[in-house]
Order: sequence, then structure tokens, then C-alpha cells
Amino acid sequence: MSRPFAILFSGVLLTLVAAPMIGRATADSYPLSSYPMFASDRGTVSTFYGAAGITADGERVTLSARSVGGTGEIVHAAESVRFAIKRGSVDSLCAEIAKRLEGDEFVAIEVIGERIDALAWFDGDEVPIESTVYGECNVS
Amino acid sequence: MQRLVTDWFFAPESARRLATLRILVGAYATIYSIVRLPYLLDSSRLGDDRFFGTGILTVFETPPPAWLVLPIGVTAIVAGAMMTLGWRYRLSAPLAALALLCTTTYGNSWGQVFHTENLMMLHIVVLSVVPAADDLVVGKAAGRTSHDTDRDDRSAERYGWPIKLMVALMVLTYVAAGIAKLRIGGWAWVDGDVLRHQVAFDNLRKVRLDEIYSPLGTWLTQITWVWLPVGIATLLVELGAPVAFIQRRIRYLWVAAAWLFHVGIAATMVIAFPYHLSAIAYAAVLPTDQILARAQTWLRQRRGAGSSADLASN
Repeated sequence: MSRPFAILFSGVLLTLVAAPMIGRATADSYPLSSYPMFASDRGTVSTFYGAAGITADGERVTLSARSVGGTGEIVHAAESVRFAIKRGSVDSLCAEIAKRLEGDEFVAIEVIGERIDALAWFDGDEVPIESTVYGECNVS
Repeated sequence: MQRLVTDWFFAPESARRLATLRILVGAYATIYSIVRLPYLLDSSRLGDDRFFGTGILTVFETPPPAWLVLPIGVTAIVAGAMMTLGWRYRLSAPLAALALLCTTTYGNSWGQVFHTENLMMLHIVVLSVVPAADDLVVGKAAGRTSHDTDRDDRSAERYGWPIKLMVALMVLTYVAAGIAKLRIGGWAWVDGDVLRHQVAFDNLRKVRLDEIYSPLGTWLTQITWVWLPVGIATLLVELGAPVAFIQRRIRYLWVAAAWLFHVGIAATMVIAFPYHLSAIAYAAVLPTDQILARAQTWLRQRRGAGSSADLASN
């Protein structure tokens, strides 16, 4: 394996990996990334996306990432809800969740977004500032 | 200066050291491919509107056919195992790299980019095009290389520069993460509030999706003064990564600090960087060939002691 190949291959790979550092700071891709995770200040109040299952006696149960997103990945589940709201496809996501939960204790699903002060929450104030139901559907 | 860099980059190395990296990184990637296959299959059952192509899949508006996921996933596993063993390396290594790039990119194309995979992928790309199977190959006597007739120092540089490149890629990923924090969060990032808010947010997101969160992380968010030193330490590890190029003791200190940094992330946010936590991400800066030699000596001594004990008891 010759030096010219080593220099060319290394130069190209290192340039590709370094390039996102001078591009848009929040741009993200794979496997070349600017690694923007944990970089921005979210402040203390954020919107948390998820879904709730409603039982026959009206109890609301927080659904797991697997139930919401279909893969068990937490960020993926939250992002699925956020993107569905943004793209106007909440009904389709709700139906998908309901299908996954067929045969469970739930009669209905709510796709929700809650504005919460995270620091206050972990200090004992476990009440969302605002809660929005973006979509509802029945579980057959 | 140019001479110094060239001498450093092309310093000769043993075929064994590069081969140990092939085995470590290859085995990790193979096991990772097995563990992640269920996630890929789950993803393939999602609706097309959930797809956000990234990397090589950016050009796709809809996901590639779902039936492709299993064969490519299995290819990544089989070729990865062959690469690890050094078997038909010139074919198996590039195939493993290509299949892994396809599967991990597909997995990253559903709204979440897993930054835990980038460095593993970059290391596999390097290993796939270099002679990393000139030693420790199944079916070949140890120590025999395909270049046995050409054993001067210059020929051994072929085993040195890929290791240096793997170190440089590792360093770049850390520096990029540090620079992103300063570019996006500014110097205010250092005061620790940004990180404190991130830890609180990440844990609460887990709570609101009924998943395991970190009681340690949530407890620490209530202690304001902790986050200034944690913020400074984070940036020191990330921006200080280039010390991995210099003197051995400093390099090992940095590796220990970087590893502890990932332990901290796992402990406060339940986010695991398995490639880093397993220390395989840092293998290129460690004397893996010497560690292997010591392990072999230790094993031989143990076997010898066992045989002597058996003989004595008979």
C-alpha cells in the first residue's frame, strides 16, 4: 500500500469528518456529523411529546417509547410525535399506536404535547404548565 | 514541520497491532449488528411518512424496500464476522463496511441520529481498505504476513498509518463535539446551565415516555454549583482530545478522562456510548499488541501451572 494512497485516503476522510465543523452548526447527518447534541440551551421549560392510553374507566396511562414510536428508542418516539404534528399526520400516527395496542386495556389513545419546567418537575412540582391533545383515536 | 508529521504518520508498526484492532473493532461491529437487527426490522415496519433519509439515504424521500433490511443486516453480520477472523479479507472487509454503512444509515433515518455509531463506522471504513489481516488470521500461522519477503521498516509503515488515522478520527469527533457546543451555546455553555438543562430535559423526556431515567442525574439538576466544573471538564475532554497525539502518559490520562466522561453521561442520562464505554473506541491509542502478548503469556503460565498440578496429583 503506497504512501500516495495513504495520503489521499487519509486526507479525504479527515476532510470529510472535519467539514461539518465549519458548516451550519446545527446540521446533523451520519456518519459525518457536527455532533450538535447537548450543545443548545433548552432553557428550563420545554415541550415533551408522547401519548397516553385511556382505559375504560377513564384512567390516563403514559405510553412507553415502544408503544409510541414502534421501536423502543426514546428520542425516536418523541421525534415521531413532534414530526407528525409538524407534518399534519397525527391521525395516522395515532392509528399506528392504536393498532400496536390492540388487545391491551386501552379504549382510546391521545397524542399529546406538554409544556413542562423540567427543573421544577424534579423539584417536586409535577404539573405541566400546559397540555395539548393533538389527536385522538379509538383502540379496536 | 512537514517532515515531523510525515515521520510520525508513517512510523512503522507491527502487523499484529493493526490486526488486534481489526479483531476488536470487527468483533464489536459484528455484535453491534446482531444487537441492532431487531431495531432495524422494527423500523422497516414503520410508515413511509416517518422516514427522514440521512447520509447516503438523504436522496431518498421514501424508505428503501423493507424486504432489503434483513438480507443487508445479515450480510453486515456475516461479513463482519469474516472480517474479524481475517478470512478472505479483501472481499469481506469492504463488504462488511458497506453493509454496516447501509444498516446504520437506515437506522439513523427515522428521526433520530445515533451519535454513538459514527466513530465505529469511521474506524470500520479505515480497517476495510488497509492490510489489517496480515497477522492473527484464522487458518494462518501467527506472525506470518503476506509481505514476508519485504520486512524492512518502510514496509511496516503500511501497518502504522492506519492506526494513526484511526486516532486522528477519534480526536476529530471529540473536537467537533466541543466546537459545536461553543458555536451553538457560546461560552455560556461553560457555566454549566446548558448542560444542567439538557440533563433535566433528557431525563424528563424518559419519564414522559415511561422509560428508565437517572435518579442521580435528576438529583444533580437540583445542585446548581456542580454544573460549572462538569461543563468545564466536558469541554476540556472534548477540545483537549488532541493530547492523544502526544506523550504516552498524557495520552492515557486523556483516555481515562474521556472514558469517565462517557460513564458520567450513562450515569446521569442513561445514554450509553457502548463503543466508548467498552474502550474499543480508544484501542488505537493503546498498546493492544502488548496487552495481547501479556494475556497470552499469562494464559500459558496458567496452563503450565495447571499441567504441573495435574502431573503432581497423578
